[in-house]
Amino acid sequence: MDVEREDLMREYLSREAYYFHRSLFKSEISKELADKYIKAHDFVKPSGTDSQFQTIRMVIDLNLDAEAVELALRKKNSQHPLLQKIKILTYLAECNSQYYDLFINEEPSLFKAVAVLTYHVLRTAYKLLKGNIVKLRYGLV
Amino acid sequence: MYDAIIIGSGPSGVAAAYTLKGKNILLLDVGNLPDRDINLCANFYDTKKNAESYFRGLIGDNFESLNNIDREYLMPKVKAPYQRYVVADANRFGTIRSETFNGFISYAQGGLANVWGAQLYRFNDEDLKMFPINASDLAPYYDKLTGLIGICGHDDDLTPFYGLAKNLLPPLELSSLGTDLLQKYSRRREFFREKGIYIGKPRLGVLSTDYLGRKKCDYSNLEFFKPQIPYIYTPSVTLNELIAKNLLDYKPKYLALRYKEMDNKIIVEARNIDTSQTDSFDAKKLILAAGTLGTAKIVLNSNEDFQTKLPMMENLPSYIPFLNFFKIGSSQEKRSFYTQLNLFYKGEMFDGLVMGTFYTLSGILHSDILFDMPFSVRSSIIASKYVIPAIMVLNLWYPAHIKEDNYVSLERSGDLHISYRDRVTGNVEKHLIKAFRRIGYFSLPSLCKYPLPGNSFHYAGTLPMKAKPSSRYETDPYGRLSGTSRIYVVDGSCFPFLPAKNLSFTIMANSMRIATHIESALDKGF
Repeated sequence: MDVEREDLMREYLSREAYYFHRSLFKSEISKELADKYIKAHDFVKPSGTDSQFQTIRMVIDLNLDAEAVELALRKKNSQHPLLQKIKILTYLAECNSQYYDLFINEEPSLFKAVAVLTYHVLRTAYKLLKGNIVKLRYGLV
Repeated sequence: MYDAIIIGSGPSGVAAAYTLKGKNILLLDVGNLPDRDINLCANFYDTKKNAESYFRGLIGDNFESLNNIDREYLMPKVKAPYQRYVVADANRFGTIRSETFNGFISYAQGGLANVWGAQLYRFNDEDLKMFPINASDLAPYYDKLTGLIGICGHDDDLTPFYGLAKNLLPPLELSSLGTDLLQKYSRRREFFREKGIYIGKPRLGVLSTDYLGRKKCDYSNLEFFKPQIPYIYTPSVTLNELIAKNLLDYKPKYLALRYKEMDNKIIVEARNIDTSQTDSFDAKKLILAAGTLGTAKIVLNSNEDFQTKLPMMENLPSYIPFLNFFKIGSSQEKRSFYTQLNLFYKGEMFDGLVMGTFYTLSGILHSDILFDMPFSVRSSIIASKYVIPAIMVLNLWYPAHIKEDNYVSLERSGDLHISYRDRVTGNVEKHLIKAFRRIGYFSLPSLCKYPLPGNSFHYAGTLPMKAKPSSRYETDPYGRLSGTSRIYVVDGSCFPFLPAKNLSFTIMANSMRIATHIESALDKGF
């Protein structure tokens, strides 16, 4: 019974890893990184209410925009388990050489940086709006 | 029988041991050590580029670097996997119970100094005005320590706060951001003076040149992940020299529990943490150097006192991130040392001198800070790449006075209970944000961070030093615990006031001063 439950949990965490990775990094997660995400849950225990975990399930099951939902929820609760899980994935990705260029800038360019930042300010505003609409529509907490 | 037993191997214990090195000395210490098998590249960014091979050092076998996701906050330097030995066993020998204080007792060899910033500052007479000693009493010991440690720094606008840069090594190289800030400050010096702001280079126990067999700083940016880097002085450097030369009897794996003073000796009971057996050790003198909280615990336990609330002080910290717009998009500087500049604020926003240190964010994981950015997660990741090389964080420290609301007591269970009510108001932060805007460094009050008290690790004042001690939990000017004849307190416990300046150098100098007095008493047969 315990083994079965453990397998189910692993399968669910694997789904989370694939889903969040696609949402944040716009690509498929490697098996190695997904395995680390699953193993991390043996040591890091995201905490929250049942309805907050239900929100995570809804995001994945209904194919909602995890990044937008997280942003909408963050202001009210900076410790939401959705954010905690996204943090786990972000730390693991940062400590993976494939993501080095995503985190570290090696080519100086003020112009490019300002353009990128301007885009992301607008993108964040859009994600916040979208997240709030999704939150209201599906009653996410 | 030993001449003296020293409890603890932090800055004060090691300074006392060094001073008494000709005597028959026992040093009792739990003495946790870092992992011997440190696997990191020669530079932080090379390590990240080959991160799969260094997962153990960056994230950890037990995912230590992810600590702050679901547990009480640990500073990046403490939560790194190879640095965790510094706070290991924190709950094994009794916990700290508090809702208002997030503090630690270190059972590591060298204590909390293993993760210090190595900022070493002399207290002047203004800093010592509530002490029953003055700067000239400490001066010879500061000088001796300067030679022992190898301190870098130079004379600049901060000399009036630090004293002349006598016998110092040249300062460390600044990063491009540090250089930019210092240049802009220099051009607007009069403006900043009117605002009560002074900036200069820090005085660090970090080697800018090879010194006494230790190699100079290599600007590897690994300070947050690699323990006991030889170019950063820690008490373990001196302790290991004393052990190697057989100049003291070092007994690790011993947790000191209590002492009992007899007519002709002092008996210390300590538990061997491997066997759980309690052993007794005799000496003529006892030197308590277990750190402010550790020493308080031993003293209260020895008196079986579960009622008294000892005073407690901490340098409350705050953090202000400053963004230099013109540095946005700079490439990540891979060769730097994280501590850049110091700042002093003296003005009407706060009654007392406030000190600060500017740090770059090189050498830490972006994940530690990107969730504080006002973007969605993916946008934060991408923005951090361009913005982090343009950010300096100013860490402020506030002075502390003894107040009734801030105290520590011992519970029968062996836990310490701490109540700490002081908080930072944020007025100085607002003032500084406004002033730095003038030179192109931008921030917002809403971006400032005010961690729970306890996070500075600068604790003091549980057994304050008085010219004429009036209670059994006060010490005389030589650190002798009131009502005793053989028990001396040499760590931060005996500070009657905590200036904003980092206390470590003064703890060491004061410990040397007291140890010299003990040496003289031993020589006279007392």
